[in-house]
Amino acid sequence: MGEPVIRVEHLKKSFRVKGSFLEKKQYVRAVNDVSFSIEKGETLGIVGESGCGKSTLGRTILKIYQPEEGHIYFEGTDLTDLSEKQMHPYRKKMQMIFQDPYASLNPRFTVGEMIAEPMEIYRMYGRKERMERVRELMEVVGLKPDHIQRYPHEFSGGQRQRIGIARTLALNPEFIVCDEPFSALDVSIQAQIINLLEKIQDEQKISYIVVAHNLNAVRHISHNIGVMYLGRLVEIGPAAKIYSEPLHPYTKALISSIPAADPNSAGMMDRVLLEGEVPSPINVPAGCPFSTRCKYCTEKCRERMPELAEADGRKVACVLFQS
Amino acid sequence: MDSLHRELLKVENLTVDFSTKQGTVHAVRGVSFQINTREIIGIVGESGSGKSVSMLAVMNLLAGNGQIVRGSIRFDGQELSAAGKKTKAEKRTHEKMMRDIRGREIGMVFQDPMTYLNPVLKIGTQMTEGIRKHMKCSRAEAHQRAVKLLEQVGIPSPEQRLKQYPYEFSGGMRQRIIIAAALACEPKLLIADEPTTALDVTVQAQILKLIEQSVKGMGVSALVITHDLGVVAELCDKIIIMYGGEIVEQGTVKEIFNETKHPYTKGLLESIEKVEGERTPLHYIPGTPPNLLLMNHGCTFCNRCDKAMKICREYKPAVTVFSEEHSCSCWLYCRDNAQQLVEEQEKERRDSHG
Ligand SMILES: Nc1ncnc2c1ncn2[C@@H]1O[C@H](COP(=O)(O)OP(=O)(O)OP(=O)(O)O)[C@@H](O)[C@H]1O
Ligand SMILES: Nc1ncnc2c1ncn2[C@@H]1O[C@H](COP(=O)(O)OP(=O)(O)OP(=O)(O)O)[C@@H](O)[C@H]1O
Ligand code: SF4
Ligand SMILES: [Mg+2]
Ligand SMILES: [Mg+2]
Repeated sequence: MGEPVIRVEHLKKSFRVKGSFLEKKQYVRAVNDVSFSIEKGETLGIVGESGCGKSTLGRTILKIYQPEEGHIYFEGTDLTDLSEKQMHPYRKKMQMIFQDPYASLNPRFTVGEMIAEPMEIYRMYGRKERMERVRELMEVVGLKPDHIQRYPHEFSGGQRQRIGIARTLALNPEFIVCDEPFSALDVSIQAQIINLLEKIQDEQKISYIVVAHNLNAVRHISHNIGVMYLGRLVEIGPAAKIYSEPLHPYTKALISSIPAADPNSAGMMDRVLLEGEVPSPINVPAGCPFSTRCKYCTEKCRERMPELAEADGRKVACVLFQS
Repeated sequence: MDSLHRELLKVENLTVDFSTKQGTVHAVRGVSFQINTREIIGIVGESGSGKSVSMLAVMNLLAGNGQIVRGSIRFDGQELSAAGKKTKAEKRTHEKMMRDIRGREIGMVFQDPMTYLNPVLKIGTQMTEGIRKHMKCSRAEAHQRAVKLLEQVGIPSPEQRLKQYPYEFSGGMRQRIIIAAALACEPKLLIADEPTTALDVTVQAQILKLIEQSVKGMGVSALVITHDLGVVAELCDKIIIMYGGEIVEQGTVKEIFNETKHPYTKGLLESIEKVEGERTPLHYIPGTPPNLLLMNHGCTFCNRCDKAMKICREYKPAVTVFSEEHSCSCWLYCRDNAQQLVEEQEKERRDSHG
């Protein structure tokens, strides 16, 4: 196998918290020492508590935020210190699908103009070929090419999400970060979008990072899953392994709280909720970030952050699984 | 109905139109439902089916181009519908009454938290102002209350967080702040539009528990709009299913899941991804949503329904009642009355034309 499409090493990103003059400077550690790689044509699903740094991770990999420490490699090239100008050719290959299909489309442009725009920016194809390509893309994402002259408000939420995807695909990207691509949509449209992303991946061998809170949807689309907690990657490995036998105590809690769409199953009131003090990303606990809420926590856990280590076909950062 | 559960909100025949350049959008078309005290109702339906607009109409918060054309909204003995309020003075007194009700008697969580948080004000300022507006208390007391509420919705370091601006929070944190603010004044009714979509399942469980505890403890009722059928199955007593501006089915959670009647509801339930999900294509409802600019004669779902019959395209199905709570509008269940229904609708059409 060649170089992975994306490889990140010890990635770090913090934000400064403004306090009054007298207080000492404080930081939110949004992404803390994260490393992984994604092969061609594969999906890495990222899950974790809200505020744990998933969006920040996606944005830092695309260099929307400049990483503070660590490296980002795209097909073996180190992007970390490239200038905006040097990034230009890579921006085309690395794209993002946003959560809100309403906000990300310009209401004054027709669908055709909107899908053509990225190709114009990168001066791809002549005018006539471009329009052909627009029609082709509309077909790929399941829109009627006859609707090329329509405006965004004339489409439903799911169709608008497809317009966004067609725009993203226009540049033939090799890697796409999808940040909550379906959470605003009803389940039937979610299913259509998942089918579409999978079909495109199988045909064009694109790699994805998919961030989503709907764990069933993430399971369906991902080959590998990374579980984040408080800026750290605490478990990563094949989706089937992580869902059937989660090892990290946080992953266990997460997988067990998936609500069943079935009123006959045990209800929420019977479910074990995470107890203990929710740690703040402003004052990250020393040692394991999950130690304040973990029922297996020992003295050792509070002393040092456990390293990600191989265990049963995946990697886990927990003292219970260190050799 | 026992004394614990008395009627709190009763919406009848609510009809909302928007005027646009393309014509009149008939977004909500004769919606009727009721919520009792200490009850949690879930509203589920297609994107664009009128869920948010119905709730905004209840709150008198429709966009400028929208209006309630018909219908009544009775809340705790008062009429809230602005239908028929024509003169400026009437509208002004009505809006004044609504301003007292919003926030204090009805707490709201909107679909997009960013639109309702002021981006240039610190979160703490926004929360304490809200609390002081509705509850007579000092600034320090309001601040204490805000800190406690943030803790309740699981936001750590609340003292520091109150000093931050909305953009400094993750999507899910903003949503939790809005929920905290909505519960701050202990309302009688909580209307929450997609309260947990931006939240992971563990925080979601925490928020659902908070809503449930408020209902059990403070005697709040809740109307929760969501796409997440898992949330509905766990949290709600009853479910309302909307499609194309209409309620197509409603009933208790068990009735909707175990004795599903409407073809749209069936399609929706079949589209849920299962955890075991392998990479086989998922089921979905083919076709496109109805054009809300048109008032079609038949069933709104007929162009996508795999059970559609000839009558479905030409006449509206009547509401068939299956139990005290469970009802559905679909021709599959009202064929026996077809002749009478067709005659009634023919007469209505003649009357409206002549
Ligand atoms: N521009 C910013 N300025 C300051 N702090 C930020 C900024 N963006 C994110 N943060 C902080 O970084 C942390 C991680 O935020 P991020 O948006 O990455 O979380 P997330 O995992 O995507 O959460 P969610 O699931 O709620 O979207 C949070 O504590 C947030 O408050
Ligand atoms: N101000 C407006 N002007 C014109 N049409 C509008 C306006 N507001 C809403 N609509 C239309 O009314 C219909 C119902 O919208 P609503 O926001 O209630 O949908 P929803 O069921 O909440 O969908 P979602 O699940 O996507 O939030 C939509 O077709 C929408 O385009
Ligand atoms: S009335 Fe006819 S078209 Fe409408 S849902 Fe029932 S069977 Fe389908
Ligand atoms: Mg995010
Ligand atoms: Mg809505």
